[in-house]
Amino acid sequence: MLSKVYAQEFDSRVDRPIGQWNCVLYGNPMIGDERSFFSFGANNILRITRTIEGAISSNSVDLSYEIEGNNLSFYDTISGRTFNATLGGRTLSGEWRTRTQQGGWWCSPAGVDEGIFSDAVIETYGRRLDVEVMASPSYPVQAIREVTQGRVVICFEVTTLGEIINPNFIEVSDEVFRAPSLDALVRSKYRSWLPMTEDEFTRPACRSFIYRLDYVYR
Amino acid sequence: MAQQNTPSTIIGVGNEYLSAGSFAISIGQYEEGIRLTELGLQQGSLNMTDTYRASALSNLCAAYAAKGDAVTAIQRCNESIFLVSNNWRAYINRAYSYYSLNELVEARFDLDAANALNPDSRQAVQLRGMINEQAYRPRIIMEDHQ
Repeated sequence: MLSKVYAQEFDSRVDRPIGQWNCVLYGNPMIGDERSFFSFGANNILRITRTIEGAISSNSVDLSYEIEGNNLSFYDTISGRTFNATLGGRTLSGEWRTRTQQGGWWCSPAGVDEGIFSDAVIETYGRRLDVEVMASPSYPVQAIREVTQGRVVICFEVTTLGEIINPNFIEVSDEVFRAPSLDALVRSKYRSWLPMTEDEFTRPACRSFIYRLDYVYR
Repeated sequence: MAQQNTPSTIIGVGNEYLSAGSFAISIGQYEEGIRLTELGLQQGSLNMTDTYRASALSNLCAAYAAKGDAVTAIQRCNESIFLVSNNWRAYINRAYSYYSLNELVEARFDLDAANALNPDSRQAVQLRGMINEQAYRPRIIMEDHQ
C-alpha cells in the first residue's frame, strides 16, 4: 500500500526558501482554499501570485519576508494575514493568522523556473483537481473506546496523472489517527490534469480528516 | 463474550461452597458457580456477615450476567448493594448487566460509582470502552484543500 508514497527530488531539507513554490492556503471560511505561487528572492522580497479559478488572470504583490533563526515570516498586506513557518523541515509549510482567524499553508517546489508565471501556466495550475477515488478512513476502535476525537491534515503533491505523492503530516491531533488517515489518502486518486507528456509537473494539495464521535442517547 | 470481559468475581473464604462457587464462576462454569454460591448462602445464612453475603450476591450477579440473564443479575446486584453500598465489584457487575440490556445510561452511572470507589479498576476501564463503543457513532469528515 505504501509503495505509492515515494519521495521526489524534493527530499532535502528546506533551510532557505529561495525559489519558486506552488502553494495551497487553507482554513479561511470566507474565501475557501486559495492557490498561490510564492517566489522568494535572495533580496528578501517575496512575490505572491494569486490564481483565480476558472480565469486566466492573476495578480501579484511584492512583500518583504524575514528569516530569524529558522523562522520565516511575512505579512500579506492584501489579505491582512501574517504567515509563519519553521524552516529546516522537508517541506515549506506553516500557519497564517489574522486577529480572528487562523489557517495553514503548504508549498511544493514549482516546476516552473520563471520568476513571473505565465497566464497559461496559472490557468492550468489554477483549476480544481477532480477526485477520481476518495477513500475513507476507518475510525480506530481504540479511539472510540477512549472517546478520542481529533483532526489530521496531510499535504501532498499530485502528479499530472492524478497520483498522490510525498504526503506530509501538517497536523496530527492524536497518533491513533495517523495510520488510518495516511492509508485512506494513499488509496485515493485524482483525475489526470495535464497531458501525460507533461509528467514533470506536480500540484500541491492538502486533505483534512476530522474524526468526530456523536453520542447516541439511550 | 471473552473470558476477560466477564464481570469480576471475588474468591469466597471461610465457606467452602462460596469458595468453590467463586472458583467455578472464575473459570466460566456459571451454572455450577451459581448452584454452589446459593448453597453457600443457605449454609451460612445464620452467621454470615453483611459483607460476606454482599460479596456472594455480587458473585451471583456476575455469574447470571455472564450467562446472559441480565435481569436476574441486576436483582442480585441490587441485593448486594443494598447490604453493602461500597463494593465496587457489585457496581461493575451491575454496570455490565445494564450494558447487556443496552441500557447504557444506567451502565455508565454504575461504572462511575465503581470508578469512584476504585479508580484503578482494570475491569472498569475495559467496560467503559465497551460501553463507549455502543454509545458513540463515529463520523469522519474529509475536506480537500487545493
